[in-house]
Amino acid sequence: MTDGDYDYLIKLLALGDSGVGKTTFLYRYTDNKFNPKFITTVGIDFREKRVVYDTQGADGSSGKAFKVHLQLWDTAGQERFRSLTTAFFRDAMGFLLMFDLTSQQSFLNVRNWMSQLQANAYCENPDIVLIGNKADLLDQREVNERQARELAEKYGIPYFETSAATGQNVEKSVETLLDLIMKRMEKCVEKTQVPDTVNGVNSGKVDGEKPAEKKCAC
Amino acid sequence: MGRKLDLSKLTDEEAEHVWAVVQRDFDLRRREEERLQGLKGKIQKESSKRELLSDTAHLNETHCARCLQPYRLLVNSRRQCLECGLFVCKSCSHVHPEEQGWLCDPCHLARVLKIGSLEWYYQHVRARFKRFGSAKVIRSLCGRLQGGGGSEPSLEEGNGDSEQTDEDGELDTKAKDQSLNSKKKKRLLSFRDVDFEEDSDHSIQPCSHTLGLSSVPESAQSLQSLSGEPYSEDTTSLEPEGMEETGAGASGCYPSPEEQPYSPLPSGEDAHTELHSPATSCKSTFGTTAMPGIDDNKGKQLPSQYLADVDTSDEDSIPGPRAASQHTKRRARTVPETQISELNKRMSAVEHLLVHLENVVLPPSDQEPAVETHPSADTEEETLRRRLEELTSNVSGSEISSEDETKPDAPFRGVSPKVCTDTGHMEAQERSPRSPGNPAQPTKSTDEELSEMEDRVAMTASEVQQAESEVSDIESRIAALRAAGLTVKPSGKPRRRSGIPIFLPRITEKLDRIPKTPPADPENQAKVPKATAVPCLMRRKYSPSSQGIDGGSFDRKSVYRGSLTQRNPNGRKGTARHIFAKPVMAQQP
Repeated sequence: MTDGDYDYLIKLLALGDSGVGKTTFLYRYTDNKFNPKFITTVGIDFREKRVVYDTQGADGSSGKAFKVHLQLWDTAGQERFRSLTTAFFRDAMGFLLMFDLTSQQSFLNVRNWMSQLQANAYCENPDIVLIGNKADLLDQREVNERQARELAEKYGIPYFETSAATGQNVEKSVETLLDLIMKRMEKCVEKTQVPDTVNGVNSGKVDGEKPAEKKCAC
Repeated sequence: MGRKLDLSKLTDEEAEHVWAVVQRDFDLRRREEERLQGLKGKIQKESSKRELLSDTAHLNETHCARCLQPYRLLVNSRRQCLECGLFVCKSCSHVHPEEQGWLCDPCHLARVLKIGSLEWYYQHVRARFKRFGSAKVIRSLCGRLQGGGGSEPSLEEGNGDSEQTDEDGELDTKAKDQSLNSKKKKRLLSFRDVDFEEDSDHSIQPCSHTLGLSSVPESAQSLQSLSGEPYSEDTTSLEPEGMEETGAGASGCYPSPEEQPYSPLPSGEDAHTELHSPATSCKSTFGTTAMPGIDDNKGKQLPSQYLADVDTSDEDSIPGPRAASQHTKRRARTVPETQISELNKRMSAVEHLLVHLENVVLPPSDQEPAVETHPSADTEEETLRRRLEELTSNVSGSEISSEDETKPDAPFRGVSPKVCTDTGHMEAQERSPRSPGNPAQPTKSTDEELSEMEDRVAMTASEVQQAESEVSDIESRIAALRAAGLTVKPSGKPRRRSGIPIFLPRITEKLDRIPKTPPADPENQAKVPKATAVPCLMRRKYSPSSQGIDGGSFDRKSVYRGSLTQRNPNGRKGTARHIFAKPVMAQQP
C-alpha cells in the first residue's frame, strides 16, 4: 500500500452531520469491516486505499486499467470542528455528502452542507455523490426515498442508499464518484493537449510538463 | 474565507490528533511528488532515445521505435501511436482511453503524468485559496502551540519544531523570490538611468551650439551664415566625422605613433571605456572654445584696409639652395597622405595661427604707457595717436578672425586643450625676449617706433587673411566629405575607440617644434635682439603654404612678398636675402 506503484492519486472527502456514519462508511470501504460503536471523530482524519479503475470505451468495451491511490478524508460533523474541517474541503477533488435515513434533521442539513461545499471546495461545481446511510434500519427510517432523489436531481448529482452495516452500495457509490472525477480529468487533459500538438510532439510535452511540475510543488 | 481558523475550542489531545493527521497528509504529498519526478525522468529518457530514432524513418517501418525489435505478424504486430505517429510493437503500446487507437509507452507515460499532476485541480485551488488546507491548519496549530498555556508532550513539541522549521523554510523561499523580483526591478531602473543620461547628453549639446552662435555680433553675419552651414546637421553626425578626421591626422603625421591607436582595438572592454572618456573630455573642453570666439569678432572689420597695403608692394626675388632642399622633403611627405590627413594638418596650422594672433595682440597694449611718457612735437603726437587707434582696431580684428577658425574646430573638441597649452608656451617665449629689449627703447627715435608698429600691423593683417583662406578651404573640404558621407561614416566608429591615443602624438608634436626655434635663431640674435620673434613667425607661416596647390596658397605667397617688402627698408641686406629666398621656392611648384 505504501509503495508508489500507481498511476493517479485521488483525494475524496466525506462530509455531513455528526453521527450519520461517515467514519463507519469509510471503514467499511477501506477495510470491509463494520464497527457498531459510535466514536466521534476528532477534527479530521483520512484513510488510504488502492483500487483499480477500468476505463470504458465509447462502444462499451473494456479499456486500459489504471491503478488509483485513494486518500479518503474523514471530517468531524460537530459544529465546534466546523472551521477546521471546512479548511480541508479545498484538498479534495470529490465529495461524499452523507445524511442519515433515520434522521430527518440530517437530511434537512444537506442544503447547508451543499452551500458550505460550494464556498470551500476547489471550484463551485465539484463532483458530489449524495449518500443516504443506514438503509438497513427499515423500522427507524424517516426520510422518504422519493424526497431524497428529488433533492439529488435538483443538484444534478447521483444518489445512493447505502448501509455501512451490510455494505450495501458502499463500493458502488465510491466507484461512481471516482468515475466522475476520472472523466473530468480526462477531459481537462484532452483540452490542454490541443496546443501541445500544434507546437510539436516532443518539445511541447517537455515544455508542458515543467510548469505542471512546478505547480504541484506548491 | 480569509479569516483564520478558530482552534481555541480544541483540547490539547484533539490538537495533537489533528497535527498527526496533517503530518500523514504531508508524507503522502511528498511521496506523490517524488513519484511524479520519477515519471518525468522516465519520459525524458524515452524522448531522448526517440530523437535518435527519428532520423531513421525507414528503420521504424520494420523495427519498434521503443524496443528496436522487428515486427512479427501475428505474435508482435505493428501499431502506430496516435500521439507521435511512430510505429511500435504490440507489447510497447497501450489502448487510448478516449479514442479508438493506440498509444506507445512513452506517450502513455506522458499522458499519465499530465493527468496525475492534477494541473486542472491545482489551478482551481490556487485561484480560490492562498494555500491548501493542511498548510492552513498547520499555521493555526503553530500559533496555538506558541501561544498556548498548556504543557505539551515532548514528542509533540519535537514534531512541532520540525514542522515549524519546514514552514519557515517555505516562507524563506518566498522571501527569496520576492528579493529576486526586487533585484530585477533594480536592474531595470539602472538600465533606464543609462538611457536618461544619454538623453541628457544629447540635449546639452544643441543648447551649447545655439549659445555659441547667438553670441556672434552682427558685424560677422555674412561669415556666420557660411560657417553656420556645418551645424545645420545633427550634432551626433558631426562628432564621428570629427573624431575620424582627428584620428586620421594622428596616424598620418607621425609614422611611429601609428601603432598606438590600433593597440587598444583587440580588447572590447578597453574600447568601451575609451568611448566614454573622449566624450567626457569633449564636455570639459567645450567651454574653453567660447573665449577665443568672443575675441575673434572684432578682427574681421580690418581686412580690406590691409589688403590695399599689401597689393602696393609686389617684388620678385632669387631662390636659394637651402629652401629648395627643404621644399623637396615636404613634397615627399604630402604626396602619400590622404585628404583627411591634409585637412588635419591644415587644422593644426590654423591652431598655430590662433596662437600667433593671441600673442601679437599682447605687445601693442604693453607699449601704450611707454609712448605716453615719451615727449614729442604736436604733429608727431597726432601721428602716434592715429597709429594707436589703428592698433586698437587691429586687436579687435584679430579676435574676429580667430572666431571664424573656432567654429570648424567645434567637431574636433579634443583639439581645444592643445590650443590653451600652446598659448601658455608662446606667452612665456614672448616675455623672455622683451626683458633684454626694454633698456634699448629709450634710445630709439619716434620714427623707428612708428615703423615697428606699421610692420606689426602688416604682419597681423597677413595672418588674418591666411586664417580666413584656411577657414574657407576647410569648410569646402568638410562639405565634400559630407557629400561622400556613405563612405566616411562606416569607418567612424573604430576611430572613436582610439580617441585617447590621439592626444599623445600632439604632445610629441609640441615638444618637437619648441626646440627647433633656438638653433635657427643664433645668427639673428647676434644681429638684432628683437628680430628673434619675427623669424619664428615667418617659419610657421611658411609651413601651411606648402601643404597644397590651391588658389588660397597662391594668395598667401603674395601676402608673404608684401610683408617682406615692408621689412626691406628697415632690415639689413643679409637678413633680407635670407627672408626672400623662401617664398620664391614656394612659387616654383
